[in-house]
Amino acid sequence: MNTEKVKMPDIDISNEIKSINSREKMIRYLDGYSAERMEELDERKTKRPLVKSYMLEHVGDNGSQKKIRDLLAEFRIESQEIDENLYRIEDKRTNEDYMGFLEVFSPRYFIFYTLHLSDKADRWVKNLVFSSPDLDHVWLSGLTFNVLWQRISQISKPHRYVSILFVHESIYQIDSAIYEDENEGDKEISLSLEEEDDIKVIERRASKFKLVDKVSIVQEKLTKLQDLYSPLYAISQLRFPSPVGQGGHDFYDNGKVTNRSGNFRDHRSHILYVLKIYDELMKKTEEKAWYSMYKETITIPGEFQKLIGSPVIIKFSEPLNKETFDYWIKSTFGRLNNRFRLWGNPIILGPTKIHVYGVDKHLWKPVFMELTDKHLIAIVPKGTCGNTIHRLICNIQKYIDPAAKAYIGDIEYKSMVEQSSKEVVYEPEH
Amino acid sequence: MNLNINGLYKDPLFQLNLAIWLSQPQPFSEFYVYPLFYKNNLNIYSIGPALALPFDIRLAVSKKISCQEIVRPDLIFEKSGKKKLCILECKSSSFGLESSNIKQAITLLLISGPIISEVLAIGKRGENECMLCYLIGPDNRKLMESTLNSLKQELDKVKMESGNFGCFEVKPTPTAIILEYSENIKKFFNLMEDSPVEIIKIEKDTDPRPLYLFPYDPNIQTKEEQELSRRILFERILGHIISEIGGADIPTSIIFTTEKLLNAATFGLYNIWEDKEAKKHLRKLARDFLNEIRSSINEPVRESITHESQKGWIFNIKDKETHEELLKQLQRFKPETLDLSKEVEPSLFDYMEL
Repeated sequence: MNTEKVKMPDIDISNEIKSINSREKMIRYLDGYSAERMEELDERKTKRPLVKSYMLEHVGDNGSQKKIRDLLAEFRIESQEIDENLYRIEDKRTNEDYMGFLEVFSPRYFIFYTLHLSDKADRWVKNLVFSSPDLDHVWLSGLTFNVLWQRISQISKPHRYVSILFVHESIYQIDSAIYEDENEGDKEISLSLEEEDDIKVIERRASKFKLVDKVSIVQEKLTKLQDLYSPLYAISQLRFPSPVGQGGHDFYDNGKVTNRSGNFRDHRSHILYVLKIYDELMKKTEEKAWYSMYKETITIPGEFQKLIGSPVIIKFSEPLNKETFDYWIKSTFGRLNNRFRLWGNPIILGPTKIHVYGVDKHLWKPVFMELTDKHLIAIVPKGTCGNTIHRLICNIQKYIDPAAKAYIGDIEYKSMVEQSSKEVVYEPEH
Repeated sequence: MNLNINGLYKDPLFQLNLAIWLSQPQPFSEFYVYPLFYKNNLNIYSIGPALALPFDIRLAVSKKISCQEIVRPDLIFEKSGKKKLCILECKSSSFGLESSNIKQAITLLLISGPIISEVLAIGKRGENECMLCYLIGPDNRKLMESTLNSLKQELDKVKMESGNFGCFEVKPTPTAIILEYSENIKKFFNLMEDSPVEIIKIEKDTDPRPLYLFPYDPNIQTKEEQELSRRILFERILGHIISEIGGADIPTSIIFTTEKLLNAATFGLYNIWEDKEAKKHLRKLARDFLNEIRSSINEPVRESITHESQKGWIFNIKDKETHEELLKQLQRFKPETLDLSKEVEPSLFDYMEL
């Protein structure tokens, strides 16, 4: 049951956000608000929306990144500073709505907290990210979630309940419903909020499962189930059980986190933990995968050039059939707007092999790819954000092959996530 | 598709990209190009370096044997902290003692000797060992080794020390592209694999080439390879333009010089090429390509693209509408529709245009 399907006037939420003008007030308010919602959840009578957070990445070169205020101002969104690295967000485009709060975790990562309904908040964040090449979601792939699940099972009490959502939509498999979408052609992506309602929703064949069970049971069964049925690798939402009471924090693959616990501080603390892992993973990915010519100066006869970097390899668990491959290529590179947000003119090298010297259209950075029925190989030139890689892996697992394996050079992506999570450890401050 | 890959294995651009892929980290179980060099710790030390003969060597060889003062091999690999080096030169086929390649080969043989440490400035003479390796097309290894052997004897006669040498030969079988090499290469680099090694599986009706990290070489052998490499170069230039414009804050004015575009499209290799004619040829290609792009853009957006010979190509993007329309049209531009085999005629003002 979706307990969040409630109707209440948006203006109330906007006014409540407007009245908060310091960090302390925000924390106290969101803490109390979360506790009230938890009580309502227990009674299955939610009267108001849950607290939701969105982890966002500020892409671009370190040092030349825009200030968050300037970045949002381009979209007539005002950031009002209420504390150090904390802003109250007012959208001047839509009846001067107060949308929530934005906390600057680091120059590279932001967290947007809101009380608005999911529909409205999701759409607002999605539009913001869509419109800005400087912002992206924090992308948590199924492979990353599998490692996070291991951390949860390590410290959670066996009797606590965990919730895992598996989503795999085989959208490139041919069926009649999908072909309808072909006629959408090059319809431009809407950049304004008002036009969003016009986007046609098409029903697609999908594998979607939600598993809610005790940590001990999931720990025992999940790996076996994944081996039997590959869509179970495509974890797209994972709940971290809250240590301070019932419920927990639902992390989604696009960086959204819903607070289904009675404590906001604990919610924030979980987000910080996951962001630290993500940051480590990002650094590792970029360090390993970035291709560049590295200049080494020696005395005779000048500069030496060497190429550094590693290819990103995504290996499918079994070859795609020809129809699926063709449809994937056609719907990705045959139209300006596509799910992978890639541009490129395919160079056809065989029935199931193409090369694309293209562009990641979200960040507007080059990416070179070999796509076959068996794998995707990507070359990411230096400066292309590591986010491109995580989004690619996320999308492949979600739409092409849930059991695909990914490598950065010769290192398996999964072990890179494991390593990143191991490096986020407690260190005494003094 | 029109699959004509007969000239592929002899093409130096394919060979160069293949050699780079052999040294790229890839999972040993899931590789596309078998990482023979990477697995054996042969890492890229330098791409297209200019190597000069030391002064005393130039004095010693003068009037005895004909060689070049500077050579630019395609690649240098290093192993075990530069203790062992491999100078790799890609050639379509072997050559005899009358060939114009002989001077370069003699110079490379000399440099591969004990002077390599000094030439690379990594130690005293004799501290590092080096092997000169030619990467060549099918059925040419024996002949090439014979030529190199003759050159070594020539150098021995004039009491000049040369380095080790060997050949990698790339050729197809019905199921795979294989790499053959002599026993001395295997021993010198302690390669774990016996020759020949399957490096890329061949699939039916499929061109086996890997992604090209370096897209262009003016010395390409066949018409098919020239057309394809020209297309890759154009796709990379177009991709760079789209990236720059797509990520720009509006209003803005973005200037692309042909040099900037060519460097972006070649990972900076354009800058270090010394062949002035080849560079001129590339600049002309890039300029013609930009002209084609401009003429494909519909009015009134076309007006936002101008060319000034002292500045380059200027994209004036005054508002969001122009930005969106320009991007849309650029993304619809298809380099494959151009005449990719067109002869490139140098213009009178090549030297002053950017």
